[in-house]
Amino acid sequence: MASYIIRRILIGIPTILALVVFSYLLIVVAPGSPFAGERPLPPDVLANIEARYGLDRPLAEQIASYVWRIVMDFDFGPSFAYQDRTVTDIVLQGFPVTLTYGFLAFLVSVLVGVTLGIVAAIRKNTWLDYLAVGISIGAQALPNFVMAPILVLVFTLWLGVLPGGGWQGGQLPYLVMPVIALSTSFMASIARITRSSMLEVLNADFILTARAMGLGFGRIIFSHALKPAMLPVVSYLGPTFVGMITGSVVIDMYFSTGGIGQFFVNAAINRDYPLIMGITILTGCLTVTFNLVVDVLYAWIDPRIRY
Amino acid sequence: MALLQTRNLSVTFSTADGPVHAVNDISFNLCRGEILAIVGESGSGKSQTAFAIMGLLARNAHAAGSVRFGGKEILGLHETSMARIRASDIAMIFQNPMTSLNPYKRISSQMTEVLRLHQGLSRREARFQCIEMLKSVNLADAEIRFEQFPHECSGGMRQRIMIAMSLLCRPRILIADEPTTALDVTIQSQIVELLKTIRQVYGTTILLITHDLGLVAGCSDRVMVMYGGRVMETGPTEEIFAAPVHPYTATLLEAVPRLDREVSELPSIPGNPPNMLGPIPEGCPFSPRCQVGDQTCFTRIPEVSRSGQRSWACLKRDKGTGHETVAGN
Repeated sequence: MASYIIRRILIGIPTILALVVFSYLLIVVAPGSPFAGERPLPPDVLANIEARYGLDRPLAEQIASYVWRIVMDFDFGPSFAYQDRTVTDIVLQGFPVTLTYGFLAFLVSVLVGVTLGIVAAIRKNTWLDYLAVGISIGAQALPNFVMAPILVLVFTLWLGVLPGGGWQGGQLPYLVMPVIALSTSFMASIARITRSSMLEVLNADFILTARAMGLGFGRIIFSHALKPAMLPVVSYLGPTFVGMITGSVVIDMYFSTGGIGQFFVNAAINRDYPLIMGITILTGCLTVTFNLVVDVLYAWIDPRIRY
Repeated sequence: MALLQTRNLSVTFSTADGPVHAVNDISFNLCRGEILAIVGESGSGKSQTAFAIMGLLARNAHAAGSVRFGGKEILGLHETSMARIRASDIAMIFQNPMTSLNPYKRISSQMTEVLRLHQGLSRREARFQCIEMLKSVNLADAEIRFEQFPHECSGGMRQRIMIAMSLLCRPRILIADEPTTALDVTIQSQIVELLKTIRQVYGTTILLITHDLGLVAGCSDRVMVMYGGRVMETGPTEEIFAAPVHPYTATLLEAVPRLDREVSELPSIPGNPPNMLGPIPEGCPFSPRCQVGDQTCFTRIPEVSRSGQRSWACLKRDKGTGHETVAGN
């Protein structure tokens, strides 16, 4: 197992490197320039700026020196759009915010989703099942950009109990709506995956054996069915978790939380190459890491899986 | 008195295509210490009979009639009361040992769970008894196997483990639903020997469900032949093999290859097994394929005739119709 993990980490390095090269090429190939404004800059000024940021050099050299600086100094470069700020700065400011509400939303969607899915499965074709399925279909139909305005309308404008936006260091009232808005549709997917995999497991022969051994219903669910039923959920959770903690543009824009999602979109609009690259690398590393975590969890859940 | 009495048991499944009558009005006794084999082809209702006794029928199934264990009605008992009977009074093992153990849990955890639940033993005591039981079903390296996961054991070992697990609480009845079907031939005979030993050592009454007539001949005391959800014939194994009364039993036995008889072609029973969907047929379920019957067989359900330890349900084989073993009783 340990050797497998080390091997996977080693494979992760070229993966990230490929990611860096491809995204760098994509950004540069895309039309537009970081310094294109309403009024075009005089050519010699533009040339000066490009020279300052090394954009006049051949592409391969640009990429090589970018990677070199990251590896040697952990330097992701300056932001083009935010004057006098480095990419590391911006990520360190925005990432804790998205990590906080993203992680909370993840917890909420897993706890509620798994519970709903299990209830629906063990009470299949009863009103409880229909209710749980109904809730998850409804939630699925409410993506965060619909949820967010509805929440603000209800809790801020009508009831006046929650602030309509802001972060304030992540105080509870400022967390509630971002977490709910972000978790709703994920919760729905998790509920549906849990329900179908639980139903499948409950049909397995070994569940019949457990019943024949006189085990009670609760014990069968928690001691025998839950672990295998979680396998498909776990594989869904890996990429989902990364998606959630790296933030959501909608949440950041709508609630002005100042998370990384907002910076990412602005960076793309501004052609802020270093910032786009920095956030892409962060997401890439997290994806590689959590795919590994999922695989390790898999082996822990299912003893027949060995690497 | 019989340990288990089944009277007029019927099992009906409600399906999208209409009701399926899997078991129709069957009655039999299971006597203390015997091995009773229920034989029949796929779809004859033998497994559903066992599931009905255990209260393990599928959700869309309904059982009617009566099943009495030690004089107490257990059919339709509440799930929690039934769970107390399972494994501690009546245990059951299944056809496919490859899938009937939980692949996600160690054998130790699956086995001790049963003992701790039914007998409230300590972890240590449960562990000790489980290993003892694994040894008594002749599982090699019992201590090592005990700590393993099911996938680390072969099919034969897993069936031994299943048997050991089902015997942990010393049940009075063991229902074995095709316990050897998924195993290869050499292992099959070992498992059959094991079942016989268990009966001797623990005095366990065994209900053996199978379609393998060789297995029946090798170990059961009595046989019950089922077809189309009904009992065709019941009697001591030797007598039934020597002189079957019911035409179905007779044709079934003819279709079994035997070493002491040379035939160029193995006879098969003409026609197809009955379709269980739709209304219960008015006559004998075997009548469409029967060589002996006539029109009346299609319209009347035969009464059960008895003679000594034997009984059968056939209009053409009434009491005293001159069958050798039956005549003169």
